[in-house]
Amino acid sequence: MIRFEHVEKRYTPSQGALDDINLEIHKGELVLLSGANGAGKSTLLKLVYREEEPSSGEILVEGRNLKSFDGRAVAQLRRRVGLVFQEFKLLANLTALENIALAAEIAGTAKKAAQARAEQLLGEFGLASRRHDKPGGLSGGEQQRVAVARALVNRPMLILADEPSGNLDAAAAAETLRLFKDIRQQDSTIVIASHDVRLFEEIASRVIHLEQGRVVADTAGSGAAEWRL
Amino acid sequence: MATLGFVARRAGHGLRQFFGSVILTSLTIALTLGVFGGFMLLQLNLEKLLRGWGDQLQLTAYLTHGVGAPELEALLARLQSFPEIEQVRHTSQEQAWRDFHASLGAQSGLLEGLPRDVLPGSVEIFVRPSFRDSAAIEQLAGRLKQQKELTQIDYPQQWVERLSLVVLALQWAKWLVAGVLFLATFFLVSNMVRLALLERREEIELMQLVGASEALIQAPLVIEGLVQGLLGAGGGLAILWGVYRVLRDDAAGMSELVPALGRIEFLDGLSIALVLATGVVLGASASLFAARGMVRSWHASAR
Repeated sequence: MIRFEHVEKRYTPSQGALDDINLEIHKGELVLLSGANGAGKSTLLKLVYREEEPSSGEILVEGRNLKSFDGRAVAQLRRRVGLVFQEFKLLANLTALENIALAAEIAGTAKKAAQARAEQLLGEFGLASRRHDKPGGLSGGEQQRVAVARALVNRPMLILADEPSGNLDAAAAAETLRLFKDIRQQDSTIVIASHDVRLFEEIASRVIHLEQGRVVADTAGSGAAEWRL
Repeated sequence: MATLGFVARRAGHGLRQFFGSVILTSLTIALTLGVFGGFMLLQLNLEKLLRGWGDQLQLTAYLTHGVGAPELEALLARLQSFPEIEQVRHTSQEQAWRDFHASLGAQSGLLEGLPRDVLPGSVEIFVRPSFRDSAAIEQLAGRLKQQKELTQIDYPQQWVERLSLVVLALQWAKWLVAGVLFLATFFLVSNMVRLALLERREEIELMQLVGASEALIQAPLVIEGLVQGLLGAGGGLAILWGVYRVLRDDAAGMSELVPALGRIEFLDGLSIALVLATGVVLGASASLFAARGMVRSWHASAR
């Protein structure tokens, strides 16, 4: 599904973020990208949804080289990718329902259908009663659940999560883990970048460890037994 | 269809959320278009005045003092024989006094104590249509000046020509001032939109991340600019209407002295449509200019 071929990313000639990355992520995998801060995990995710472009090398998503994507194609790609961020990135002036429905409407879903889908996800994530609350009135765990619901609203082919438990306490982090377990059961391809290996390792089918922009280990995770191709 | 609805809702949301900025932008456009409309109003009324004067093409020849009835009769017959002249009409000193007295209306008391023969007698001369051009009128005026019974010749053509120059100058001034004002307003409005966009940066960047195309992000902003332009143009016309009403009421009081002042007109439908269209184009283009620049720079800086 995603292939990196000799990918290098440099922000300045002396500041490299990724160095000669070669890897392939298959459909249905749950990949945990681990590594310390600055190892290149976030940069690798950003390359997949084209927030960043590689300095050299090729990235293919479903067989298509991202280099050939124009602005319209990038927008189309992002509609099929669900993104989850450490800082949630919810719009403060929209309710939980509106935040989720916004992503669906941007993808071209009619307002009523978008709201119905958002209502459904809020129900599944135990947030039905909070649908009219704005992010400021939600706990960190609730905000992350809304953010995950937004990532799922367009039934994406791929979910990319960047430090999804980074801003959460232990209980909320465990709740997030449970959410990703549920998502995994839906056969989605998921890539989670996190320094918290212990938390996500149990559900990951594969753990890729990065150090200073290079892949130093690529091993099966504890969840590999459940991995279905 | 879903996209159109989405764009309209986002535009409505933006207008409500940034109401203060909307009012400021609309006010800026209103002032600019108010000034532009003011020039149009002035030009329209001066042109109308010119047309009125041009249509009359009547010369007034004032009689020298002491012209007797036989001399006057001979003069009128002589004038009537001129090929350029369609008709002549004599106004006696007494008639001139009565006409002036009537035209002053309530202020006619001002004439008290003045002798009734203070105004000269005159002959109004109507020119045939085929001779209503400046060269022919000039030539006729020259011939009239040679008549010993006549002391002074007044004809509107001189004023028509002078006023035509004023109107022409006004027309140029209108576009010059409008050009400077439009440019200044364009950059002012686009900077106001930029400031409003900075407050929405988080929202716009998130929209980009979840797959909004550049057009989908810009379209609501352009519609917001269009609405602000329309509001501004409406406001500008309202200001102009207020000024027009005040001027019209003031001018009405002087209309007996200067009849043209009593007939000041407001902009016609076409001019109103032009002001509204200018507002729409100004608002929408300034928003598009600001949005394109900022959204692209954010997009580029994200890479």
